[in-house]
Amino acid sequence: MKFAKTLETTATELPVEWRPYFINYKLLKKCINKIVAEIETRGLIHQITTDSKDNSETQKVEYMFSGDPGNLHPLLKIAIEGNDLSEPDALSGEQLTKVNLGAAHLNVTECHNGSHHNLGISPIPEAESDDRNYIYVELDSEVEFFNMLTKDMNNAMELSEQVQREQYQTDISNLQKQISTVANALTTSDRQASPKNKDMYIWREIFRLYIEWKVFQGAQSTSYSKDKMQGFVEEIEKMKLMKSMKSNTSRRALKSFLELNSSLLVFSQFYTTNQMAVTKILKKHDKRSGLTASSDFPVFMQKDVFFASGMLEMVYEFINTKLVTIIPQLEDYCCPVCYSIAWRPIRLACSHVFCVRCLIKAQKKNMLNCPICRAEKAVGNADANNLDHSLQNLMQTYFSREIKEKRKENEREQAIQDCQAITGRQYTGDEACIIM
Amino acid sequence: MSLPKRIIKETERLIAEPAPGISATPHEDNLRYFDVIIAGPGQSPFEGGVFKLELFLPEDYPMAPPKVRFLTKIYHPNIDKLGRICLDILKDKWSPALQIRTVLLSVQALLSAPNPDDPLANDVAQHWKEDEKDAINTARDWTRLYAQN
Repeated sequence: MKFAKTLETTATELPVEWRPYFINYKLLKKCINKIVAEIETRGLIHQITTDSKDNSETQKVEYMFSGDPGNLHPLLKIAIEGNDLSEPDALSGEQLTKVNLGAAHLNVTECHNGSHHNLGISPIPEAESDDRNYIYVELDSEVEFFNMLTKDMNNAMELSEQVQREQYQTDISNLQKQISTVANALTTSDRQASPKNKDMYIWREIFRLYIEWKVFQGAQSTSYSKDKMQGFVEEIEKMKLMKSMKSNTSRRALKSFLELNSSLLVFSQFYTTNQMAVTKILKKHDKRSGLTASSDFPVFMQKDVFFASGMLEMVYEFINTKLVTIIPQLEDYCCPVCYSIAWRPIRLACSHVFCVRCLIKAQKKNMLNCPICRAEKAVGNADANNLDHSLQNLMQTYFSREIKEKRKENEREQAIQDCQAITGRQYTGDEACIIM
Repeated sequence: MSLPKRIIKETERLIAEPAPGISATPHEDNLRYFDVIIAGPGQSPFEGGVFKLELFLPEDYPMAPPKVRFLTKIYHPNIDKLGRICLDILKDKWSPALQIRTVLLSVQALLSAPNPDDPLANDVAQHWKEDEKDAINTARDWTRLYAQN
């Protein structure tokens, strides 16, 4: 009852054209009533309930799905021990009669409705080689329920796929082109002027914030994402990032980027609500009927993306790989010792990268192993050949400001050291090993 | 004397995302000096205790390790009467890629795993080796006496 209400209110918040694609929760619920009634009238209640209580091998109702998602057949597979008659002592008399009664009842049903192809005992789908006999029972209402459910799910999936394909993928690709031209230093031929005249630093800040706020990261609820999104937008406004942009294309691109994210939020709401509706209706189905669709149905539908929830992640992944990576973030190019850009990047034999300055200091202090992995003598053996040229080029393209700053820092430090050398006061040097 | 970028960044991160059971706050007048609090780890004789430490970043940090000392009295084979700690990464195993956070996590781990074979406080280590149960009881008593208020 409660969930049906939430479903309705959520639906009103979403685009009108999406509403028909919701899971038809109310109709499905009515269908569950039919299932309950059918189980009762066909005398199956015993079979199903004894199964849950009594795990004995002799009488087992197995719940299974056959056919394919377009034409689904939920079956109750009821086992009757083949050597029942030869070893009657193995079974308690009571159980035996129950099985027989149940079977008899089913047979009767089939006779009565001989014309109806969906009723009664279905053919055994695969050859069973053990000594048991099985009866397969298919309930009309079950068929109706699951075909309705799969139809709804397919509809929802179709819409999702369509939205993803037509809207998000093209949107993201377009944005990628736009942002690349305004922000990516590599796309211009005039290298000298590019980083300064472009909005690369602003875009880097935007994406840094985007990563920091983790709007869509982790399987979080939609309301969580909404809060994060709001925080992200507020921060962009506070820092006046849009205003400080130099090109109009940049501003347009930022607008589209924000729009893309808000529309993703709406999509996420649609998607998760539908997912929840399916889970809830299956639970309801199980509770009322005593069957185990919550666990069995998703297994049967395994190939279906609906339960995998991969659709949303695919879109986020797309944003993260296509857009956010356009501009490298400083954090990924910092020296793990001084925490500023690893300028002149030296790659040690163990492949860890540090700035040349920190390695010289380490060498002077006779700390010759890699600071990260302690690879022996990695620092000691490093020389000019360890300079990573391609990394250096990349840094020059993307981090000209940071490199400039780092150079200044290094010069200042050098000056202090020279001063110390002249005055004869030394702060470094190997002092005796003291604890504390 | 300006503070190196590394120390500023480390401090920011320490305050923004503190490690569980550990807090480190720099002094306002000396940003290289930190007041540290480590909660005694669960399932150790120090459980329930709150231990105060001081941490100082020397001039050539991170090329030299931070200096760390317990201010709260503690009965531990690798910590002496003056609060000095016997921990390899604070001495010869220091690496400039280590940080305040990793150092304090190591100290916290040392509380969970006392190592009487590499002692600093000889008498305590002796006690630990001869009668571990009794030593742990003393450590519990000390925790109650000195680290709870």
